This record gives sequence, structure tokens and C-alpha cells, in this order.
Amino acid sequence: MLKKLLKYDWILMWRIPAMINLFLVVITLLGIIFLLSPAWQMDDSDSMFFFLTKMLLTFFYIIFLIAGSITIMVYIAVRYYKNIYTDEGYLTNTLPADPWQIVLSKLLVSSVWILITGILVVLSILSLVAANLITMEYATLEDLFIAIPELFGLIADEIDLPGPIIILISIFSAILGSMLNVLIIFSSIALGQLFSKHRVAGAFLWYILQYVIIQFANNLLLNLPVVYYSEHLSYHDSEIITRALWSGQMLGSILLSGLLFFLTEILLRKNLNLE
Amino acid sequence: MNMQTNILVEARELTKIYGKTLAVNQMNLVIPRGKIIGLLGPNGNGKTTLIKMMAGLLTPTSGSILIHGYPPGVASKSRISYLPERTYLQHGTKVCDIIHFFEDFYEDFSTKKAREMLDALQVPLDARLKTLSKGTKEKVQLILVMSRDADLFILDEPIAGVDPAARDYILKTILSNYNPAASILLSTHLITDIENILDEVIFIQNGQVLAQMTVEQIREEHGQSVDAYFRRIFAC
Amino acid sequence: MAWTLDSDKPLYTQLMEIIQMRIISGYYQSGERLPSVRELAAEASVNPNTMQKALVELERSGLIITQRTSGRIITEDKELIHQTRKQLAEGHIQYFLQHMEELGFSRKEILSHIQTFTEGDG
Repeated sequence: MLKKLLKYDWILMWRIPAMINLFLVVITLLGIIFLLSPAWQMDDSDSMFFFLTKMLLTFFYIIFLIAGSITIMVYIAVRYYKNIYTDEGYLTNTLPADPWQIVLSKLLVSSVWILITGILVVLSILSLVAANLITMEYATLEDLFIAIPELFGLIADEIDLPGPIIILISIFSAILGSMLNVLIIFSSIALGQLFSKHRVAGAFLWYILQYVIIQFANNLLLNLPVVYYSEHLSYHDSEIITRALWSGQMLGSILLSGLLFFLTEILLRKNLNLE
Repeated sequence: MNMQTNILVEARELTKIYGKTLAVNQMNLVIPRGKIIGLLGPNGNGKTTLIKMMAGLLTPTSGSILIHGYPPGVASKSRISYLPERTYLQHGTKVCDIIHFFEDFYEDFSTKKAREMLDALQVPLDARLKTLSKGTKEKVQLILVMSRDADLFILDEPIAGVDPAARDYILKTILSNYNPAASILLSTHLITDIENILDEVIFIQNGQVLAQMTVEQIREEHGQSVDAYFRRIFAC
Repeated sequence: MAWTLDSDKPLYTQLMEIIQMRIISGYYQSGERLPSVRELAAEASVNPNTMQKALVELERSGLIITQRTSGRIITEDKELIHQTRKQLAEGHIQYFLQHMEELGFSRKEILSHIQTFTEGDG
């Protein structure tokens, strides 16, 4: 059943995120070409026009990154809401499927899109920065290929963990982060259904509330150990601090994701009211 | 076997309150197997609310609704074929995609049946829903629902707002797919149009069952059509 | 012969009458297989259980025979169909005469009326 749900949820919502990501790839490629072209290499100081154009292009690029990411998040929220709590819900909620399967399927498909988008955004920024470095003659392509693994090795040394483990941890936190983001959306929508009227506004309210609480908890988590350790440990113990932060954040994310999934599922199972 | 197997749905003290509105009020009801039953009553008296609780789309405020002895869940949903009073199909999808969807999710769905009926209606399988007229869309949805071999068919106002030709089509579709081992629960406020196809009627008023009786009983004991009888008991 | 049904009389008796008429008029031929209950119910837009009841009643009269293999067929006993036809005709005549007598016509007057009526008609 989960497999079938995944199949249809994928078919239902691949188009718009795919289009946005495709657009991101195209913009990045154009950016690289532009950065490597002679036009960009001209000296700014000579021409106000080129300076302004560069500034404007960079500005639009950043705006696009933000707008694209927000659009995908909003799209995920709208699809979830429509498919479960509006007319489409008459079909979704009468399928012979358990509520946890319905939520999990949508969670997985949505997380995959957030993950893909996140990876592409990082790659896009990195490749544009690299192109800029090459153009400015701060580095050659070969330099970068050497420098990146070196940088990575430095981080590995700092934290005192083998490289592959760090990669695994990074992948795992990226997946976890995507899922947590999606679950905050889903649970807000589910909690919004508790209102007898203005349920969408209710969902917004819950989202903002959850966002604020999570940011606050995260800041607390980031700052407490630093404050604590700075009194007791020397600079050389920074690896302990980093590890503690990582594991704390991950543990927190896992617990929170579990909690939000459970909340979303139980609200769908016990409190569905399509009026 | 005990009598339980002949009861498809049972409501006990079933209550649903929306905000301050009492939609269904401590209702007691039994729906047996093998009958075409009309759920009758003026609009706004709790018919749709009751149906949605059977389908598992609304959570009762108190009391219980049992299908085959259990609350709505995966088991009941795989045995109930439900036609809501609104369309749930997405406009952009093709007819054949929806057939695949039903085929995938409902084990009792007959693709052959659905295709035959769509053929007869001259709906091309690769047509997108948005290219079909409103009436045809409603018929497509009915065909999907009636192509299942469910225990209970719940049809919410299937003939509201349709012309006589469409009404005939809908009734014939329901009847020619009817399996005597199943039951059909059909809600409507237009009684004359459907009373000939009913075995039983359940009159709903103010969220309660006013009467449940067989059509034969009404005609033989009261010498009246169900419609006339209905008008009489709701006149007060 | 359309399935025209009154809403305040029991349905199955009306269905019986219509099927009986169809047999007598030859719409359903003697020995022919009758459509299934479901088909007939759909055709008439009536409840299948009601149609079933009408058919069972007609079986009792012998006009319809249930065969284990091929479903229901119309009787091959042409005499029975003929008899039923006659019975129905007598019923109609009786009904007609009763009403005409209530209107104050004598049998003789009725006969002559019929004669003029049919001649004028033809």
C-alpha cells in the first residue's frame, strides 16, 4: 500500500519542484558561463555600468534562490492540505490505507524534493563561487580540486572523526533536516484543523509558533555548551564541543520529527473532520 | 452463523456536533445486507453528516458507528464504495489514469466493467477530465464507484440537479451493477424519482431516525407512494 | 410496451401485469428466454427484489418457467397463453360493461354503440 501511495504522490507533485530545480540548474550554468566570460573579467573601476549590472545579477540570483525555496515549501504545504483536507480528501481519506501510510508517503516524497533542492542550491552557490575565484585568478580549477579535499581533511582532523563518517553524518543530517522541515508543515496543517473556522490561518499560526520555538531551542542548544565548555575546557577541546553539538542537534531533530509525525498521524486518525 | 453477518452498519447513540450545531443526535440505526435503501429527509437534517461518519471522513462527537462490527478503518474502506456529493477527481488527470488509480487501490475494482460503461457513454479513455462536461464528469465518478464489488455502496445525492435523461442513466447504472449480496444506501431529498428502486427507506429528521420501513409496507399499509407518505409525516 | 408505473399501487403487481401483457402480445415469444432479473430491473428502473417477486408470482401462474440451466423462459404451452389472454379480455369487457351500465346504458344500447363506434373508426 505504501508503495502505491508513494507512486501516486510522486506523480501528483513532481512537476513544479522539478521545474524550479531545472530553472535553478539553468541559471547556475548561465551564471558560470557569464562569470567565465570576458565581460565579467573587465575591471569594475572603469565602468559604473558593469559594476551595477554585476550587483543586480547577484541580487536577482539570491532573490531567486530564496523565492524558489519558499515556493517549494509552500507547494508542499498546499499539496498536503489539498490532498487531505479539501475535496481531494474525499478520495484520499477513503482509500483502504492507514493514516500513517498516507502521512509517511507524502513525507518521503516532500522530503526528497527539499533534499534535492537543498543539494542543488549548495552546488549552485559552490560552483558560482568557484567560477568567480577562477575568474579573479585567485585560484585555478586544479587548485580547487586539491583545496576542497584538504579543507575537508582539516575539518575531519578538527573533529577527530574519519572523513567517510563525516560524510555519512552530513548526509544523515541533511535528510533529517528536510524531514523535520516537512513535518513542521504537516503538523501545523493538522493542528490548524483543530480550529472550527479559519483552519488555514490556524495552520499558519501553528507554523510560526513552531518555527519560533524550534529556533529558540536550537539557539539554546548551540550556546549553552559553548558557555559551559568555555569555562571548563581549553581551546583544544573544541572537537568535543563540535561533537556534542552535532549529536545534540541530531538527537533533538530525531525526537522532534518522531513527535511531529506521531502528532500529525494521530490527528488524521482520530480527528479528521471534512466538513 | 449469527445474525451479525447480515448487519453491515450499526450506529449506536451516534452524535455529531459542529460548533454549536447538533447535526446528528443520538442516532440509532441498522443497515442490513442485500437491500437498496433510501436515506431520505429534507436538506440539512444530517444525511450527509451520517454518511461521512460511515465513510470515516468525520469523527463522531460521541456514540459509535460500526461497519461489520468495527469502527471505520482500512477494513471498512476496502469494503465501502462511496460517492460523495462533490467531485474529488483532479481536473488535469486523464480518465485512464483514474482507472489505474482505482485498479491499484481497490482489490474489488473491475477495470473491465468500468471500461465497458465508459465505452457505452462514449468517453474516450485518454480524455482529460477538464474536457468533459459537468454531467459527464459526474457519470464517470459514478461508473468508478459502481465498478467495485463492494459490500456497501454509499451514494450521496446521486441525482440532485440532473436532468431526467441523466437521472435514468444513473438509476440504470446503479441497478445493472447491483449485486444482491451488497447493499446500496442512497441519500436524496427527491423521493419520487427513486422510490421504485428502493427496498427500504430511512427517514431522517433533525439528526434522528424518524422511521425505517419497507417501501412495500408503505404502499400496502398506507396505500400511498413513499413520496406522499413522506410529505405527510414531514408536514408537521 | 413501456414500463409505466403508478406510484401508489404495489409495484410488483404492476410489473406482473406488464410482463403478462408482453407475453400475450408476443413481445416475448413462447419458449423464448426472459432477460435476467437484473436486466429487467434496470430496464424498468425498479428494485431487483421487486422484479424478482413479480417473476415468482408469474411462475406460479405457469406463464414463466424456471429452468436450472438457462434461467427463465416463457412457457411453451400456447394454450395457457391463449387462456390468459381470454381471461384478461373477459376482465376488460366486464370492467367496461360495468362502467357503461353505471352510466345508464342497456346491454343492447352498448352493443349498438360499439358497432357504430367501430364502423366510424374503420
